[in-house]
Amino acid sequence: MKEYFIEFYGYTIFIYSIALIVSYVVLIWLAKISIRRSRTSFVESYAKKVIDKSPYTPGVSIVAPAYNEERTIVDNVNSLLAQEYPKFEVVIVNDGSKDSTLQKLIDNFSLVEVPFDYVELVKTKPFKRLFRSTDPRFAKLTVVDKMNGGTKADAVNAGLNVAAYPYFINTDVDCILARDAIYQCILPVLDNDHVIAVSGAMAMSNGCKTDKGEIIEVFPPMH
Amino acid sequence: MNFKFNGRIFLAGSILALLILAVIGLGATYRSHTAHSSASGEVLPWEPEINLTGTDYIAYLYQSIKGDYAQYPWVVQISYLIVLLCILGVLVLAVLMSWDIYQRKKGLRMFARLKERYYGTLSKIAKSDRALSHAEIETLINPEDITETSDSYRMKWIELFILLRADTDLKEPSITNIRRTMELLGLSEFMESKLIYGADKEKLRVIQAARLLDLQLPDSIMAGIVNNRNVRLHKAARFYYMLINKDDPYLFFADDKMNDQFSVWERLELHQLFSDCHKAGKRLPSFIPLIRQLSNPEIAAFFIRETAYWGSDAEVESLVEYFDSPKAEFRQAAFEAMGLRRFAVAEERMKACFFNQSEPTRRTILESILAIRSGKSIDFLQEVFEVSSSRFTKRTALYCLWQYNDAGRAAVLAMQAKAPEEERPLFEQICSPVNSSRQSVSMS
Repeated sequence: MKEYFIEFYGYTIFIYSIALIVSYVVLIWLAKISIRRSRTSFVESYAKKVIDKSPYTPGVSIVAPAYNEERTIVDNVNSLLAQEYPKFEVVIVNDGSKDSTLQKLIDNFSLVEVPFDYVELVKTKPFKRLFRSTDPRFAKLTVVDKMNGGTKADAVNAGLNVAAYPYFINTDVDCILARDAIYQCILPVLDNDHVIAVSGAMAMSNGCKTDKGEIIEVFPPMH
Repeated sequence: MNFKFNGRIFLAGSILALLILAVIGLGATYRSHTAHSSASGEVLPWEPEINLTGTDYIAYLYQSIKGDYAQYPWVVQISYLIVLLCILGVLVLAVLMSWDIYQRKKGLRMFARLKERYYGTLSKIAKSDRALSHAEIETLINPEDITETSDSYRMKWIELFILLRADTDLKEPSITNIRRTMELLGLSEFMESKLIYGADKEKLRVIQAARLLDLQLPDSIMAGIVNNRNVRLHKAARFYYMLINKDDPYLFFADDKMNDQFSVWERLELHQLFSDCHKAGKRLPSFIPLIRQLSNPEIAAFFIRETAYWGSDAEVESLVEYFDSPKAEFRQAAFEAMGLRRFAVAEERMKACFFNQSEPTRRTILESILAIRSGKSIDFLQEVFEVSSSRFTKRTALYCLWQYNDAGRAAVLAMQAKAPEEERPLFEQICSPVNSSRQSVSMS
């Protein structure tokens, strides 16, 4: 009986492992086919022109949690603000940072605390304050200050509670987005009502040359 | 020596090396603990030791394909087969993706080169204050210099013209000049040949480009595409006809087959199309009869909104009948249309049916009242704020009141003085000057 169970267990693990490997490969192939299909549907300059001018263009909120990011926060927020999309906002959630992340944001983006009637649509650790910029150049930036929730999800949920637009991009504040990242993400969503989420291609930017929040030369990590 | 480190080649080489090592490593792992020797020299799992060097591994793979290891347990054979197939699948995919990336970057470089070299000249041709002759255009553009004839190169030319179109108003003589330049470069012929012999995706791109550049495609070719089985192509061809046809090309929306799916992109594209038709003084649909024929409520709601942009005052007034529609999409679209058109005539009707609506529809009515700004709704907005149970509707009402006019602002300040403690943050948010410059009614 014991041998029978051990054998059964062994075969179960075997089938599971094989199914897992095959499913990964099939999923990658399906993704590749889907990317190919969606890419060829539009003349890109035409799609951008239509999106830029249309009143039906949906707004997108970029929600980025920040925890102890004082070294990179300013450059990376500049990178997020440099998106080429007609209707977007950047919501940075300071998730109880212990370093000068928040102060750097306040100093560099002329932020002031503004009164905000926070509605907790999704439950999170307590919201503390909301900051907006007095400088019109940073009008798309909102900074939420909250108690540390211990998880990225908690910070993202707090960002979603103040986000103004129906779609959101969940990213990290230490990520650099391509200038047309929102366009690339929104096109499959606009094109097909069944698409509710998309993911971008990610690569390590350590070692890459950046200027004003944009990667200008690609190199693999050196350290 | 000045050594330039090419990161991309290094990365591609590393990935390839990793995959090869993974395959070799798999073979080694597989043989561990089970290897024994055989006198025949054939590698078998019960041999005590196997030393594979150089091409031995390829020979090992070859023997496995030949079926020399048929005596292995079936579990091992299946695992081996599946793992090998997966590795091959990922390898092929890696090659395809690298090729795609290479092609895309090549395309971008090609486009950048074309733009740098020809965009200024094309812009000069398009913005000329008279129709240029073929000879004059030829002198400016010098087509003999353009020797490349690949399809991708020509598609980049078309994209360059689309970019030019985005920066130029499509009026005479610009249309003629652009058309003549495209003829001179052989792009008109190229587009026609793609429409006949190209794949569906290429046909789709050509039709999009033709529509945007206001180019006339041959009817004999387009007639076949209009009834193509590919719905996307079919729709693109119909949209093209809307732009160029003088008959009534809009009735196809009543076709159920076309109405199964109506994506956001199609809304964006149709709005752009109507805008182009409007600018060119072309005929737009008779919106009200069209809306009545539509079976898909989403498309009908879209046309209700479009009526606000392009319809006559009489048509917009007819939308009032949808205030009492049993379909929520119709009501929502009709209230929104009044705001888009700033149609003050409908303001009292909207207020009269306000309390019969759902909370999101109520907020739409408030937004429309703000857009109309007749100055007659301060008491109404105050009442909505006081009686609403939804926090979002209260916020929208207060925001509309604050943005309405000076009297509205005075009313908000008076209300703030009497507001209970729990409502104070809302008042402070609405009245904050930094927030005011940022907020829109969409905050609700």
